[in-house]
Amino acid sequence: MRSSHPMHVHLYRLTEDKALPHLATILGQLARKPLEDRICKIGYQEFRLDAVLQPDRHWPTWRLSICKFRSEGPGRAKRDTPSQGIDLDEDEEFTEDTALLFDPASKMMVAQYNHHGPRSGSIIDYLNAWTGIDTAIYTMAPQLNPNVQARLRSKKQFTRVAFKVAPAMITDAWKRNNVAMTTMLEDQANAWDCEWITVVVSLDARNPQATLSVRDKLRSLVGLSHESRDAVKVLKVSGRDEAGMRIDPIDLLAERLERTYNGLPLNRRRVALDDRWKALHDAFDHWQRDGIIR
Amino acid sequence: MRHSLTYERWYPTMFGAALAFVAWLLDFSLPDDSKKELLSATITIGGILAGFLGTAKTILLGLPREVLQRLRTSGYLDNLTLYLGEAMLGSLTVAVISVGGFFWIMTKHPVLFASAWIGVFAYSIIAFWRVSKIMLLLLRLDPNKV
Repeated sequence: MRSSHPMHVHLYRLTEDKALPHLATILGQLARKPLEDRICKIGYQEFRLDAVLQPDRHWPTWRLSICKFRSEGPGRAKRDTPSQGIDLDEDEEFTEDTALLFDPASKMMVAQYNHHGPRSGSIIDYLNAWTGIDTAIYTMAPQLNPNVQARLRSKKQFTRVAFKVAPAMITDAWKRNNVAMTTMLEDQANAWDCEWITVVVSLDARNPQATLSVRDKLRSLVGLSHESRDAVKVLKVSGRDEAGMRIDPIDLLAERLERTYNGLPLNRRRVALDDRWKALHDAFDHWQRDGIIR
Repeated sequence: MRHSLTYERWYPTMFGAALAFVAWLLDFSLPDDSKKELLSATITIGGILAGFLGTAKTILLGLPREVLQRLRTSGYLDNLTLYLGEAMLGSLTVAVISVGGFFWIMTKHPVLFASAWIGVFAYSIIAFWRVSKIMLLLLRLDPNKV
């Protein structure tokens, strides 16, 4: 039996603050702990590094699997019967796991996208929780298609910037940015009563001053696409290479590097971890051949 | 007004120290005719502020779980406990220093005493204001949207 759902794979670059040990050191320490000692609570949910295998002759990368414990799970049903629960033992819980590869040489991470499982935000929060250093963090920056980066760099005139973000939530990002608690709470209390805010900035292409200052600020906007908590839903920039040329819209989120694997074999209704690692390794090889991973 | 966390952390100390310094420069001393009444009044104020801050701690514990959890994971809970601690220390110091004023220190060093008294008093009021403002804002938060 084969999976009817495609598996998406994304590429991230790991950045580590200088004060931090190399991630491989943390992974090595975690590998020596028994499974139950690897559990860590992030927000309301518990996460655990389920599998951690060091690079060897056949696999040049670390193979990882991080799982999330779920208090509630899916049901089961036949076509002609209503959905019902699945029995578990008293000490068992539902889990969702995400497979990852980490290449210490290039500091690249290839991650399966599991919508219900740990995603980049919680994975990096989990890894950060083991460093023992509050002031420095690892980050996972999603990698954009290199053509998009080149297109963005060649733009001389920006005409429109559109982004859709979740209104502010109380996160450690405020504290990292040295924002006063009063200011943070005021912003929080005055936040708009909506799930998402869409902002579109239209620029007068004839005004070189406006486009110039936007170019300076664009770098920080592009940084939004690295926001780890899925806080940004839309991030599009429109611009042109020279005055009078066609306006070229660039979707910075949709242009994330991604590979898709269809029809992976199912074993007891799950895609086996080894099969997922093989798919991730294929994506890793592909991006390495393309020169994206160096 | 938007401020940095560093400013928020230090402004009661800065203003308290600045006021103490200015009072010392101006040779400020407490008025002779109402010294005792003034000191008794500040002891009372210090006590009331300390009592109120004790109550504020229970408000903090009674906050919705989501808000408290968010404050904890974001690291701001450490700041809030620090601010609460500083405000309590400030109000208790006001009471203690005012009690000290009934003894020889004030007659021997009136300017030094008055400067310290005014600095600590300003510090405790500002630190109290900082905590009260945060507590009021916390009460305004919608727990479903943090």
